[in-house]
Amino acid sequence: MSALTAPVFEIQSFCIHDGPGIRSVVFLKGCPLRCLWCANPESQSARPEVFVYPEKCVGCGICTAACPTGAANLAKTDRERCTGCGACARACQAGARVLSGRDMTVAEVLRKVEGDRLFYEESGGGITLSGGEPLTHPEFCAALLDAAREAGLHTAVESCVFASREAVDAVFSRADLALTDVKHMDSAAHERLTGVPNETILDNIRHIRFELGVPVVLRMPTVPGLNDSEENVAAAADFAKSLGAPLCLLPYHRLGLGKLDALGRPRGEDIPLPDDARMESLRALAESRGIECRIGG
Amino acid sequence: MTDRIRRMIESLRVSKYPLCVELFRLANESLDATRGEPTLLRRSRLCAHVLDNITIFIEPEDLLCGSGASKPFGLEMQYEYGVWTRDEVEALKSEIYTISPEDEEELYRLNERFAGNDSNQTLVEAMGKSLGENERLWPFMKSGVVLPPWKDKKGGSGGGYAMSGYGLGPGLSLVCVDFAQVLSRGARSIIDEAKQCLEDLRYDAPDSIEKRNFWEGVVIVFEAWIRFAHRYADLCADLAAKEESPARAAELREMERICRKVPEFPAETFREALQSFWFTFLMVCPSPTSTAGRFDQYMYPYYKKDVEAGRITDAEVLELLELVRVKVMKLNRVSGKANRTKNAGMAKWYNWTIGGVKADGTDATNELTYLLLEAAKDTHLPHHTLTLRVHEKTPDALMVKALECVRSGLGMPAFIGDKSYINFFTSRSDTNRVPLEEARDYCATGCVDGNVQGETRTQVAVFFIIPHAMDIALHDGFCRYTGEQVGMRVGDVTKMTSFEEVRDAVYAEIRYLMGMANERINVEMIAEKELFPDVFRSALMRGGVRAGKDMFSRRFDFENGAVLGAVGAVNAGNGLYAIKKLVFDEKRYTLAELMAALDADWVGYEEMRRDFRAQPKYGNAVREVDEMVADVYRLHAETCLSLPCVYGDTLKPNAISVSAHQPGGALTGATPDGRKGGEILADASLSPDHGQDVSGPLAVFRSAMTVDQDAYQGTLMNMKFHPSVMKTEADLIKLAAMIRTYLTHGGKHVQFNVVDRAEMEDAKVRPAEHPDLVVRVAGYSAYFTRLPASIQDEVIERTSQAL
Repeated sequence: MSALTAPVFEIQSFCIHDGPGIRSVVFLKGCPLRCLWCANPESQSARPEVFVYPEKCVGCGICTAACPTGAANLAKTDRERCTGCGACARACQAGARVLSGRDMTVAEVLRKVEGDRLFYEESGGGITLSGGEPLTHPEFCAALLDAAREAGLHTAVESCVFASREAVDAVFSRADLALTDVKHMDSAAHERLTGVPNETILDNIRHIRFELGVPVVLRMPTVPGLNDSEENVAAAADFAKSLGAPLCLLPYHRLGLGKLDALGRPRGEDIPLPDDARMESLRALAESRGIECRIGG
Repeated sequence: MTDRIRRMIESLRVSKYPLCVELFRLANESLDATRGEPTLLRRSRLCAHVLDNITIFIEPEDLLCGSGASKPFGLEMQYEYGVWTRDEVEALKSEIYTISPEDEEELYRLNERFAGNDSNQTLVEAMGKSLGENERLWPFMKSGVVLPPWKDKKGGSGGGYAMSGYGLGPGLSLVCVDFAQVLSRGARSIIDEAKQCLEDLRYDAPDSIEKRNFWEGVVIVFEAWIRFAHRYADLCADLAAKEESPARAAELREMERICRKVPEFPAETFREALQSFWFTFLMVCPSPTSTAGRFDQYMYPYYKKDVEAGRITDAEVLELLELVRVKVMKLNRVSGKANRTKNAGMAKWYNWTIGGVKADGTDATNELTYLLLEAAKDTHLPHHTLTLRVHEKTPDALMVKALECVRSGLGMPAFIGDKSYINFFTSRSDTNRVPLEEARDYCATGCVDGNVQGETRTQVAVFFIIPHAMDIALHDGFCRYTGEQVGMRVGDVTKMTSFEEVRDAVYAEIRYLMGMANERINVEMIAEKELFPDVFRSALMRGGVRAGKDMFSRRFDFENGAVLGAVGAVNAGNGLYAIKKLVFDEKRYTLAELMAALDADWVGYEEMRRDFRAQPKYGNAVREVDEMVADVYRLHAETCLSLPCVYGDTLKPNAISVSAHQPGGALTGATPDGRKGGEILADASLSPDHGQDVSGPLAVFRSAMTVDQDAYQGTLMNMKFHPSVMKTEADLIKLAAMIRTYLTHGGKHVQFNVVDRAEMEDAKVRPAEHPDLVVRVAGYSAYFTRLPASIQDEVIERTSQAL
């Protein structure tokens, strides 16, 4: 099996909102987008990073002693000097420092995922690659998907598909299902919200659906005030219809805010949560365009 | 929900449950009058005397005749276990029970008279003689390795029982009588069969007289039971005559008609069958572990016939099923102080088993299966319990319905696996098995203890605290608290040089102590067999009349007479693994250091404790430690299956701790898994230890699947889910697949609780207690305790709305 590695920040067992059946989601680090509402900010950089939880720090100083670059100092970390080596997290006994991300081989990932095989078989589930952006590591993903398919697992990839055509082909030609994100149907707005325009993304999605022939589920985070206009949802619905794909509206949530704190990054502007009635009316609007639309994954 | 049911549910809100002495008084009168007669006949006359004389009443709007005591919500004091002392009664009064001053005075008078009249007639006294007054066994009884620890040589575990129901005690029999037999043939036919047996009797065997007594007893009890129903018929007639509302008068007249017909004669309609069932249930339910068995199966022919004939609608059936729930809510029981902690206060296990397969192996789901779930969801009453049997072909729709019920916050039904249960009855032994078709008719008795309806029964279930036994082994047979030698000398553990040596010493001690536990069980079984024959339920076992024997004296094809419950096997396995790893593999600590740390309750050894705690723990699909736990279970099961049971065959293994892990933990010193002395042990039997499963639910299931559960009469797995995994039907179908996977691959039981607001609030304050609480949304999941406080509040708020 391939000796390739990639930085994995979590392998989550028993995921039920990330493709059919019960799945394991492999979260890879590294993402070309910088969405304003990012729920997994530790996934943006492909480097390992240290989460710091000041409320757990007992002030013993063991991290400071362990740090080879002088970055770690009790509950504070000089992020400029931190290389993400994880020495502080290994030393900390209080759980105040946790390293996010570690290079794993294809075999390691597969071994972990395969343990739940019985549950995939009964539920029609399998493995889902996610991130970050899995297409940041196309060779690794391709090797992992090959290995997963060889092991008889259903494969899905969650992706924003902002990537080269080669990367898209390498990965999605090995996927049984594409869970592709679009954040805004208007390219300028997309760029404002995520840092990149959407033409490549929309092209790639069409390519995956029609040239690679992979079933697509179109997903759009629904973020109040940023991309939740009727107009945008209708446009996303029409795009989904052109793909013959269902649309999933993923309600914005704030579960990632704590991670920003722990990474020592500032929280962005406060974004309100979408209320259930609003979500339902957007869902109804999308369905009125003649597609299947669900709230959630 | 109908207005009738709504009002009846409202009426359940009472603050005190009355303790009643009528049954005790009637029992005493009867025992006075029958002195000198054979026990079988005395007990039968006692039962008849109660049925003929106990106060009966019908509550407003009720459609089913029969309540559990002489007063609404009442608990009748039972004399069979032991008499109620003043301090026990005072303790009850300080809780949710009340007793009128006159009744209380009478109770103490009855106590004295009872003790004077029938010395050595209570179970506690009978057991005290064999166990308390025995030098070898007394330190063991006192140690609490089997719960509860005995406080004095005579009194045993102390305390009595008070409960609802009219049949004969004592408590916790795990048995499901053959309800179908009563419904389809009626009591008259049972009496006729007994009379025929008497006619045919020839005195040609040592048990000829025992049989005669049994058959005479059957005639006495079942005749009295018919009269009991007729007393209700008369009462209905009286009430109907006085009733102003014509609609209610009509209901009462219909109830009168039904009580004149059943249980004497075969039921022909659903309402008749239900009344016949209820009268039967009241006769077996003084045991709080009484079960209705596969209610959706034996009631179905009556339902189907009525629906097809247009005699009843689903709405009417639902109302009746909801009414049964209300009536079961009023059946209560309480035991003495010591038992109250072991069995969690008013715990009662009136279990209805639904679903599963038919005798031919096809799916048994029917309309009643769904209606019973609907009744639970609709009334939101915690009793009776529902247990859903799951097999490969259990319909998704039924699983979804069941999970909707769970999601509503009821925590039921429990899910149990047909495969492992059926294997228990068919595959373990050539001399102790039932045919496959019969095994498929098993049900959950008590909690989730498997028994086949009318075919098998369990009389004694005792909890064995494995980590406590292990501690005794590590102390060379001595109890560290009493300093007394309890078990066998297995050698000085600090001088042992290999892990295998340590493990073998621990196993040898566990085997030895289990042998003593089995003696304690056998003593109870012998005493119960002599003291408490019960012709009613014995006749309602299959072939029960013809057998002519009490069910304790009868050898069944599958002998399930006594079970020994493993408590804390997870702690023991985790501890053994930590010893292997840290003492022998990595050599970071010596056994002498470990023993010093354990004896100091880890005080002064905090860093060492952290290392022992940090070792991999069961519940995370880590093979090496899971196998250690599985091996402890194997030892327990194999030992049980080697110990003779006085009712026949061997002791059977069980792994249902109810709440015994709490008092069991309180008695157990510090353990090598890093647990402090006195702390609670791992919950249930296959759940990971508290907060030590941090790898998600599938890892927990995979760990549990390494244990050979087929050998067990029952196992328990409790699991909690955040409501975010139960939002949509698609979510529920995935949960269903997860449950089905576990239950068709060696798993026996799983039960879910939905995490509620209170628990999340608690997790905010005490994060260390809830490390496994996960919130899930698409593409994301978060440990709740890692979220900032403001976000935690938000999750709590939104979760509560969603429910």
